[in-house]
Amino acid sequence: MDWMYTTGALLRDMQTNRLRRILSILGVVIGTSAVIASLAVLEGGREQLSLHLERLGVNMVFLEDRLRPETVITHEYRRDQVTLSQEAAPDSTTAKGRILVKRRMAEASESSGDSENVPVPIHGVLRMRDVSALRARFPGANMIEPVMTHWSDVAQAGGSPFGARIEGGTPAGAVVRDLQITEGRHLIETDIDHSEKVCVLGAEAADKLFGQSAAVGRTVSMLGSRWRVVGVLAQKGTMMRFDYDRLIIVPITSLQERTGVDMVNALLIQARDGEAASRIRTELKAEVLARLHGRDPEEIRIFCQDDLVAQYGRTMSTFRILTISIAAFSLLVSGIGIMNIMLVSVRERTREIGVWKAVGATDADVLSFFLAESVLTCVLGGTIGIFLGVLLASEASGFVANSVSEMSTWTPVFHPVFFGLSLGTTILVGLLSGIFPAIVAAHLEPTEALRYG
Amino acid sequence: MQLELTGVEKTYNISDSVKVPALSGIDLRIEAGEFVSLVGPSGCGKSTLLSILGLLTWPTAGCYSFDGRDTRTVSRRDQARWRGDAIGFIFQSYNLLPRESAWRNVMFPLSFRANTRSTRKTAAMHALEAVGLAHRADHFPSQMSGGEQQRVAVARALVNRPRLLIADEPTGNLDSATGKEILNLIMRLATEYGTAVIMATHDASVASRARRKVTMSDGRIISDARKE
Repeated sequence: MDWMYTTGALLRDMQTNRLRRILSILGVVIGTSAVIASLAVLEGGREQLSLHLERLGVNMVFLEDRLRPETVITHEYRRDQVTLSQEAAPDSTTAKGRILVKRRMAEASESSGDSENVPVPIHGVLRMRDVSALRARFPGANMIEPVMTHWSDVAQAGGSPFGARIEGGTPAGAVVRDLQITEGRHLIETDIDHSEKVCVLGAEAADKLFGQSAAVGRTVSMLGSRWRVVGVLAQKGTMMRFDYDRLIIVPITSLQERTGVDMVNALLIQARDGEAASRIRTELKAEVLARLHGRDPEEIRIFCQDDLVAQYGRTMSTFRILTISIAAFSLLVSGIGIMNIMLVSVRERTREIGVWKAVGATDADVLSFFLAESVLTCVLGGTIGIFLGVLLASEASGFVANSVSEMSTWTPVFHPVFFGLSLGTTILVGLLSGIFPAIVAAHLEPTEALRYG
Repeated sequence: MQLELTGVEKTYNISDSVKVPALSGIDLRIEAGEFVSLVGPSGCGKSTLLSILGLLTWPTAGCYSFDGRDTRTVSRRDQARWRGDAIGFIFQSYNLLPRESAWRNVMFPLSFRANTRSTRKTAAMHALEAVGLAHRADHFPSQMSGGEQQRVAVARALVNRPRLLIADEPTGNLDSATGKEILNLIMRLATEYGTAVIMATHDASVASRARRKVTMSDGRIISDARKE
């Protein structure tokens, strides 16, 4: 069989039956583009996560208390039945805290005569002194850094407020998470020691508050007080649902003082190595639960990078299975469509097949021709699908990156294996859908075929 | 080359209970270079006999030996190769490939042979030249007259220089002048290439051109006459 001639004949035939061919390959185009686009987008996400985790190192452990400071304050407030004044705006939640602090301070002052402005201890949550104890208990950790998060309204003096996540942290907390500064400086120990009213703004928060003008040295209003901006973080995007760009970091001691709550609701731990990280991951939760009597273990979450990667992997494999199922279904339907078209093609060419056989074509030649036609049809659809998939993945990622800040750096990744896999699948679909019509054609008796029609 | 049919029968099984006998007790021997006309009324079995001679179908009973070899012992694949190498066909309705140009139609039988594309194209162009259609090489069947299409079919049938040419009513669809022209062409080229020709026809004037006339009726050969 002359393959050059065969291919040419097929292409000429495709030109004459263009609409029918286009319709028959539509399913292959859709299936292939769906596979390429989803694999590329998911792979982009995986690479982004890997890059982020690589920067952090393999020895990171995170502990999170799902009980929020806001809940504690509100609960305490409700129990005490204190009437709130709206004068403390823009942050009413903080106002509750502040009133609570004042109330507790007054109580403390009455009972002990001590008038120091100290946060009120709350039972059942981690406190600063627990962090010191954990540092001593886990020498395998280079750093155990406390974090307290709190939602609050933030505004530039005279400007309109917006909700932001305030994080009470330490200088080492920025090192653990590899947070970079573009303007000013990070927090320093003196800020912590003296509970300074200073803050470091995330890139987007800085932009919202001050636009293009310099932020360092200016002040923002939050938690019922004015805070001096000392630094602005480099843009980082979102990792694990945490938006670093909208973050505002303040000294943890200052946040506790302003909210009146001595609470730590997350720990950032940098272990000496991967092995130490694994040991800490196993033992830390039990240690923390032992310190927090009566707390629901489900509220304390501890995870290291392997957990994050595994969690991402599980989520992504669900998406992958879903997409591949849709693609497989689409290819199956398309395969049936192509088989139908091929049977029509065999029927239409019955007389031609008779001529082929009369002039010397063997059964194998006829079989090869129709299989080649089917495979070529599918490969054509697959190739168009690949181009469409690349376009779709790029457009979808661009759209998502522009509209969802958490995915601002998400770009699709195309591995050659995706293309190979897609083309291989389309060839398989072509072979499977073409084999039956090809056998029908090959087994036609020449004289019967010549009489057809 | 020698073809020999001995006691050949052919029955078509329409269904389990309906069987239509097409040929019975056919004994025929054709020598190399012979020009044989096959005449008889419609449905007498001419086309079936030609199909058996051309290896397009197989006898139900009897023996067909091609060049001294019993065709029952030859595989389907080898029979296909024989058709390509040793036999040429001309049909009443031309049977050209509608989506291919004239030269591609003529070249088509060579596609199943192991030779280069340029050799095939050259052979196809020579064949077209021999039938006087080299200037229409790039034209498609739909752009040609019936006579021209049949000439392309003659070129296709003879491009392999076959030893046997089977023509089933080659002039049946043509007017008498064009039919005569085609017949002259077939006879000239067959003589030039030393090809044996077996031609089924209804036309007495066409049949009379052959040296040997085989007459059939009801699936049997009723006369086999040779001109002196």
